[in-house]
Amino acid sequence: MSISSQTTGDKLTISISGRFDFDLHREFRAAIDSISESTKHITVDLRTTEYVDSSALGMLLMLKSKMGDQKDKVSLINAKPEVKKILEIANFGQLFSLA
Amino acid sequence: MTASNNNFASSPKALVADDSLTQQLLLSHILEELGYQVTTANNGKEATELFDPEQFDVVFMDIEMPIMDGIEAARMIRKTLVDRFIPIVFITGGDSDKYIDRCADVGDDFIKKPFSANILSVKTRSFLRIKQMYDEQIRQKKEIEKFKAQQDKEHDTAADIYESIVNTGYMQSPNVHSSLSPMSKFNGDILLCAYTPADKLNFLLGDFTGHGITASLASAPAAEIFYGMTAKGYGIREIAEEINLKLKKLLPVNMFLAATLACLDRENHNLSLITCGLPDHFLFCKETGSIETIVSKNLPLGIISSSELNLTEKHHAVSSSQRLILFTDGIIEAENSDGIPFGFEGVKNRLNTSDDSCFDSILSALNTHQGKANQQDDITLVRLTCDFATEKWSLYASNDNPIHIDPSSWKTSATLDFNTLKRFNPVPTLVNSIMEIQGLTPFRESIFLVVTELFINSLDHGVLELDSSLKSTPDGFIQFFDLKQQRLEQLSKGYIKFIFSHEPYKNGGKLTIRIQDSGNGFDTQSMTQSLGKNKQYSGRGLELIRQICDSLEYSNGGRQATTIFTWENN
Repeated sequence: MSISSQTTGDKLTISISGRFDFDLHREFRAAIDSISESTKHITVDLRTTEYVDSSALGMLLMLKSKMGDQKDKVSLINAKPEVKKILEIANFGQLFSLA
Repeated sequence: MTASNNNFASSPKALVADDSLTQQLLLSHILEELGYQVTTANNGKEATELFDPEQFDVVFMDIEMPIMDGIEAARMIRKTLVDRFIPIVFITGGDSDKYIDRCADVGDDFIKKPFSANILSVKTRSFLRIKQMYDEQIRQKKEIEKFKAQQDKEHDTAADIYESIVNTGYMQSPNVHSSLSPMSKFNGDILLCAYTPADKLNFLLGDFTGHGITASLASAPAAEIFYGMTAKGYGIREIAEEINLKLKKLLPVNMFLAATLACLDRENHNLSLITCGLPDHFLFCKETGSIETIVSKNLPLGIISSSELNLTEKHHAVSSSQRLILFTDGIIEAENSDGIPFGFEGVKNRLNTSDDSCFDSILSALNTHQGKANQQDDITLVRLTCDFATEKWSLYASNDNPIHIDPSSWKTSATLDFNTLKRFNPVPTLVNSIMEIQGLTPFRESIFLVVTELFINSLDHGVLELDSSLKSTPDGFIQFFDLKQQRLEQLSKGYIKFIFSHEPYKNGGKLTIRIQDSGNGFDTQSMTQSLGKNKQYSGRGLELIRQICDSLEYSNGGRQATTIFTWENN
């Protein structure tokens, strides 16, 4: 269970492995706080995320809020079927670009 | 040298027990030089009598003494130290060395005769440091215990308040069967249930993000809105929008309410659902065994503004053999000892025609799945039975004692333009406002029903130009609702006008309700005729009005309806 982030130009990629739940909130908050002004787009890579809960969805909303609440500024990618199911139940496709 | 123990606010206090007066004086002298206030005892018994944990910081104890030896005295003193640390130091040397082993059980250290002022100084400073650390720890422990007790008390109070807010207004319904563990309630799961004045069953199952008090805190405004608006006859769409608006304002960005709102309408045998982010529900028919999966269509509430929300509401024509099974994520995530979740299949597998108590079998299957050791207290399961049998309804018919108010004359009107018609259902507001004018309160439900039916007719067939023949089949009924929603969204002209007038009549009053719309009207003759043939899905509204009111007349080519309701004081 960990968060790693990588910046390429004005793009930031945040990768989350293991369970993405309340236990990650400090780490995730720290990641959000460290987003610089120059970041124009954020990709959240869920390739190695095994599970998301509603706290995780809340954290994604905080991330979106930090990026000015615009749908195209945050992409959620590579979600496994079980993770994707939870994102779909919450209809997060309306708020983020899902790929 | 006296400054060596300056960590203590007042000078530290030592108890010295020795039967040799010389040793006593010598040790006392050195300790006094080190800044101690010294009390002396001549034997162990005297030492135990003089000892008071509040009064001393360190005890020096000779081993061989008359009456009571040092080891016994130390043992007794130690018993009085429940959660304190006061170092007990044995004075050794000469013959007493042989007792050292026994001393170690009750003492903290030894000093050897003859005494060295330097060694005593070092040792006493170290004792006091340890004692200070220990005292600090005890102080913190007590503080934490006090804090915990206070928090437990607050938690209990919060739980009580939570209970009364969420349950005040809760109307028990024979059609709603639920299992909410107390834990899950305080985790932010809520179940709300109440009947509208028109005897529709409104229902909300919700799950707030996060845990504990924070999550359940937000239940209060949601419950207040739900019960308040249901009592006034608002529909689930308006309620969902209002809750969304409130939560968006109140909650931090990362918190929201995943919820499903349902309205069971006995009149139309219709189940309306607004699904906002809860796991799939199952609409199960116990006759045929069919299971329809209801997937969440909307964002959870409290994330975006109500104007952007654009809620999708789904209508299902239902029969009395259908049940809606709803749950929050605790149930599908419940793991067995191998870490395998109960899952949607776990619920679905229990839904079969042979077993009428599918609810209990889901719960017992879940129990078996989890095993005793792994019991997680976070289970919310609800069954909404679409039973339209008479005895399951009209449970909360108003039996308020009518208040005698002298009938008076008044007239009021309201015109609703297309913008208003698009946005909300004006009936509750209108009915509430006329209720305030006159003592019509005892007839609130009847008047509500009449105004609702008149309004729906004018809106559907007048302003929206919908063909009621669509409603003659279950499929057509759903199509009708979809088309209605679509036309409402696109509405760019039209109005509906209500004129209410009241005058004294006999022992009571006569309320005339007139409604006019901007539509094309209809052939009033054919409409009345078709009523007899078509009782299943539509047309029952007008019949209801005729039953309640004294008259119902259409004029102006179907663009105006007038109905008269008379009432009497008992």
